[in-house]
Amino acid sequence: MSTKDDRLTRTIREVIPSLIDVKSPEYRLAIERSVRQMLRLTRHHHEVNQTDINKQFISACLSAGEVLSGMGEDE
Amino acid sequence: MLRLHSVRIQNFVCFVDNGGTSASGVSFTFAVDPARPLTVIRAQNESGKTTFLRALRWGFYGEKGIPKGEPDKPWGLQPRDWKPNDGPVETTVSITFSTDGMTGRSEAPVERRYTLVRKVTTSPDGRTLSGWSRGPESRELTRHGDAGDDQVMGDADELIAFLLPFRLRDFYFTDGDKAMDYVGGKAADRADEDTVMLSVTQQREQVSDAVNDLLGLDMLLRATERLEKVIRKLEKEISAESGSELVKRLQEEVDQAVDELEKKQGELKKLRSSRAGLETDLQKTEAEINKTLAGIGNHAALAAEREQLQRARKLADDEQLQLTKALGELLGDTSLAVALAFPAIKAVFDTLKPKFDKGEIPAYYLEYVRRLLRDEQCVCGSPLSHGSALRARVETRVGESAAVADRDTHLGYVYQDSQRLLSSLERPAGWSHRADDLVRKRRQSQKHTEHIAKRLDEIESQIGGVKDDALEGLRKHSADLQRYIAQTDVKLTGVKGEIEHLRIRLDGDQSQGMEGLRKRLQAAQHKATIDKSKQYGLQAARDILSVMRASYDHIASRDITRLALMMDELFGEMIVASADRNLARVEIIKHNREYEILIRDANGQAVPMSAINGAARRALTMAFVVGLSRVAETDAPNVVDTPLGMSAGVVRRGLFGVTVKHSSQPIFLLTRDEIHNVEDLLLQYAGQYYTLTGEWHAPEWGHSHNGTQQVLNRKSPRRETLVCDCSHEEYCGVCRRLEDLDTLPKPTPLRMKI
Repeated sequence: MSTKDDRLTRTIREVIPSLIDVKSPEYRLAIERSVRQMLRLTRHHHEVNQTDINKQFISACLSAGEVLSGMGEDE
Repeated sequence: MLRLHSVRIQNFVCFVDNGGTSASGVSFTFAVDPARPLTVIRAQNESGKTTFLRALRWGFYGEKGIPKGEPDKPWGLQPRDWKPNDGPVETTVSITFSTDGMTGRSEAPVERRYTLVRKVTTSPDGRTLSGWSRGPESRELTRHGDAGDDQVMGDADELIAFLLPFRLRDFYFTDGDKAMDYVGGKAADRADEDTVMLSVTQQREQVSDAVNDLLGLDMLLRATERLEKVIRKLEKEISAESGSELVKRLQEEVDQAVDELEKKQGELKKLRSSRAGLETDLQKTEAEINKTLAGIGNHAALAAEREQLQRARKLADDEQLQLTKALGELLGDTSLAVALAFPAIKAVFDTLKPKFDKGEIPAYYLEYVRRLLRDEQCVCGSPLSHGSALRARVETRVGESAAVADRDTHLGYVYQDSQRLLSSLERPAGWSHRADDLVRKRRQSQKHTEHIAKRLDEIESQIGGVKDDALEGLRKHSADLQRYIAQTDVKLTGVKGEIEHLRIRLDGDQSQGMEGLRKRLQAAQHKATIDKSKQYGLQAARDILSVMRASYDHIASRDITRLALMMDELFGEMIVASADRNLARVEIIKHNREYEILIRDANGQAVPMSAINGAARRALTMAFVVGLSRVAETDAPNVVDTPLGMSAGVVRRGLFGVTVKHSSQPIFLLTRDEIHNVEDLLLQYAGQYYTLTGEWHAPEWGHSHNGTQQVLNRKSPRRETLVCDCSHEEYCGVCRRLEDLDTLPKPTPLRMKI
C-alpha cells in the first residue's frame, strides 16, 4: 500500500461504523474491501479498459451485496 | 516515498561537459542522510540555477516540463553556443531515485532504485525560423535489482505520474520567484515589476490541485463519480426489470434530473474557467494601457497615478468584501438570535426552573426503569425475565406513564437549553459592539472606495481626451472585458441556482422535510418484485457510496483543519519577531471543492495577498508546501530555487530553519547573498554542497556585473556552467570570484580548496 492508500484506508475504517448500520463485521469488511478495490481501479484507470472498470465496480457491489443477502439484512 | 540520489546533465543549455573534464556531462549527488538532508547548490544569478531546475523537470516530465518559448523562437534546450552548422547534438538527463516500493500496485515496502534516462536530439532544420528542430524524445526507466539484475520498465510515465504528478510540478520543483502562485497576487514590494497578478481563481486552482492530489481527495472524487454512474446503471436495470409503472416513471424523472444536473455542472465549469481567463486578460490590458499612456507626451505621472489607484481599489474592494463577509457571519451568530429572543427564553427559564429545582424534570426515573427491564433485574432484586408477571406489570406501568415521562424529559432539555442560552448572554453589548465596529469600518471603507473611484473617473475622462489610436483601442478592449465579466457573473449566479434546485429535486431538503426523487425511487423499487441479488448489490453500492462521500468529507474537514493549523504554526515560526507580526493567523477557506489560503491581521481582518511583502509570501508558500507534505505524510524532495530571496534577518533564518527541519529532502538553489546570515544552519543541515559558475561571468566576456562578482579564472571557452563541490566557506580555481579576493571584506573567512 502507498502512504496515500494507507491514509485512505484508515479514514474508511473510521467512517464505516457510523454509516453501515448493520451488526455484521463481515459486511463492514466487504464494504471496506470494495471501497479499496474501487480506489485502486480508479488510480490505475489509464491502464484498464473503461468498460472493464465499470464491470469490476459492479462486481464489487454485487459481491458486497451477497454478504448482505447472506445475513438476511434488508433496508 | 521518493528520494533523489543523483542527476547527470549533458548538453542541456549551460550544462555541457564541465569544462572538458567530463565527456558525459555534469553530475550532482544529493544528500540522503536524515541528519543532514540538505543539498545546497550555490550560484550567482544567471549562473544556471533555474536551468538546473528545468533540467530536472525535463528529466521527469519531458517537453511539457520546460518553457514553450515563442512560435518563431522556441525554447532551445541544446547548449547555448551550439549552432546549426555544428550538426546534431544530443541532450541527456539521467536521474537516479529510489522509492520504498509503495508505488500504488505494490504492497511490499521494499526500497527500489530506478534510473530514468531522457534523451533528445536537436538537429539543423532550414525549414524552421530558428534554423533547428528537436527530434522525438526517448526515455528509459531501469529498475536496479539487488544482485545487479537491472530490468528495463515499460511504464516510466505511469510511475512518474504516480510519484510526482505533473500538475504538482511547482510543488516539488519550486521557483522561488514564482512561488507566489500558491498564495496568489503580486507582492506589494514587486509592484514595479511587469508581472501579471494571478487571479483568485487561478490561485485557488493551484492550491486545490495540490491539496486534492496529496490528500487523495481527487481519487476519492473520481471513484465516487464512477460509482454514481454504476449505481444509475444498476437502478435502471432494476427499474426496467420491475414491471412496475411507478418505478419506471420515477426512474425517468431521476434520469432527466441527473442529465440536466450534469449539463449544468459542465456549464458552471466552463463559465468559471472563462471568467478566470477574462480576469487575466483584463489585468494584462490594464497594464498595457498604463504602459502606453506613460509613453505618450507628459502623461507618465497620470499613468503612475492610475496604476496606483487601481491597486488601491483592488485592496479596498478586497477589504470591503471581507468586511461584508464578516457582517454576514455576525448575522448568523447565535448570540444575535439569543438577544432577539431574550424575553421568550427568559420566560421559559423562569417557568421551568422551579420544576427543575424540585426534581420534577427531566424524568430520569423512566430511563432508569427501562434500564432495569433491559438488565432483567428489578431494584428489589427480583428477576424481570421475559414472560414473568412482574415484568408484565412493570411494562404496563412504563407504557402508561411513558407519554408524561417523555414530555417531562423534553421539558428538562428545554430548561437546560434556556439556561445555556441565557448564560451565553453574559455580555449583552458584545454582539452590537462588534456589529457597530464592522458597520463603521465598512462605511469608512466604502467612502475610501468612492473616493478612489471618483479620482479614477476623473483620470479616465482626462485619458479620454488623449488622442491615440492604440490607447483608445486598449481602453475599448478593457471596457468590453469588464462588461463580459459582469455578464459572466450574472450567468454564474443563475447556473448555481439551477444546480441547487436540481440537487434538492433529486435528494430532497431535510430542513424542509422534503423527500427527493431518489428516495422515492428507492422505496418504489423496494416494494416491486425484483431480482433480489441485484437489489442487495444496489444497497451495498449505496453503502459504498456513502462511505466514499463520508471519507471525502472527513478528510476535507479533518485534514484541512490540520493543514491550516500546521501552516499557521510553521508560518508563525518563520516570521517570528519580524515586522510582519501583524499577520496573525493563517486560515484555509473552503469553497465547495476548492481551497484558498487566507491570512488575517491581529484584528481578525483578512489581509489581501497583494498587500503582503515578498518575504512573508515566500514564507507562506513554504509553510503550505511543508505543511501539506506533513499532513499528507508525503515523503518527497523539495527542490527550491532562491527560497530565501527578498528575506533578511530573523525572517530569513526562520524561513530557512523551519523549511529544512520539516522537509524530508530539501534541495536549495541559493545565491551567495541568500546564504548570508544562515551560514551556521548550512553547516548544521547540509550534507552536499555544489557551486555553479557561469563562465560567461569572466571578464573576457565583458560581463561586468557592476564590477563585482566576476569569475577570476575562466576555465572553459564555452558559454557553460562549471560545477565544483565548494561550500560557502570555500573557493577553488573554478569558482573563485573577484569578491573572494582576500582584500575584500566578507562575512565568512574563505579557504582555498585543494
